[in-house]
Amino acid sequence: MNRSLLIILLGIVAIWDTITTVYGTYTIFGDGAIQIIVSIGFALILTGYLLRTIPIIKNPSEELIPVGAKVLWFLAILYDIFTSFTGNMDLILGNATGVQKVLVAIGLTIFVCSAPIGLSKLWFDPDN
Amino acid sequence: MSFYTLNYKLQKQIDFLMNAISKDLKVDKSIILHFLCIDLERIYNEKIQVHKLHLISFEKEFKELNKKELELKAIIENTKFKIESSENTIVQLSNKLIEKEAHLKNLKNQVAELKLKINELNNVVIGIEKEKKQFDFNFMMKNHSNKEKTQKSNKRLNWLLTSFTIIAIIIAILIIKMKSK
Repeated sequence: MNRSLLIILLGIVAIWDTITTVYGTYTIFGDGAIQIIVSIGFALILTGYLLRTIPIIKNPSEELIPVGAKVLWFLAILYDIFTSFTGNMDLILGNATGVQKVLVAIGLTIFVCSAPIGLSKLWFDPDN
Repeated sequence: MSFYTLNYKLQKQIDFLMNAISKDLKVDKSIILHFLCIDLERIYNEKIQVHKLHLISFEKEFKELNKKELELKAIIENTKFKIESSENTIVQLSNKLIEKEAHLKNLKNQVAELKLKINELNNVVIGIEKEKKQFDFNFMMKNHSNKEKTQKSNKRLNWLLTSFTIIAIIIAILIIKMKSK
């Protein structure tokens, strides 16, 4: 498949990931203009972090900053999974019930959270 | 009392007895003496025979013991020879053992040296692997930044991703507004 086309498709899924991150952070912070702005800022930082997955993970340096970045990346992934799950449960599967709601939400979350990572791979290291 | 005094006394007694027997039997003294001598000769001959037999058996025993002594001497000599040769073997084996111990010590030292060299080489290999990983990473990042600077398609994709992010934020704000109504 054409690399650019794949990047576009993953980019569209990454849009939904960013939306769920903003929405998930907003549900934690609560109502208010400042809360919305902070949620957006937080989502932007998180998305930026996830888009730079390959340079962070593949960096072999054992200094403090590269190692610290790896730790923060891991926390970012966990937060992204949490917000994506919350967003999918509320926004997409709001009317669904039962065990299948949870199972589909888990599947959607994995799919959506892996989009920025796939994008990072295609963007920074397409040759390997 | 000396032997000759005893003999003289015995002779006198024998004489007295012979006279008494000759008187009793009315036989001549010479005849009695003759028979007495014959009897005495017979008694002494029998005694001699007994002693002879004893001597013969002693001789036999002596010869057997002599033979045994020779056999035992031969056995002792043989055993002595075996002990000496065993001692020589033990000395030879001890020397060989000492040589082998020295050789083993030498080999252990060589093994320790080789282990040190292997450790050094392992450290060198680990260092090279780290350098290679760093080089691969630097190459990847340089390649990416070159592509970003030179290739038009990469620049276009950069703008596309930025616009996607802006779209995502706008949609998120709209969803939040809808939810809060």
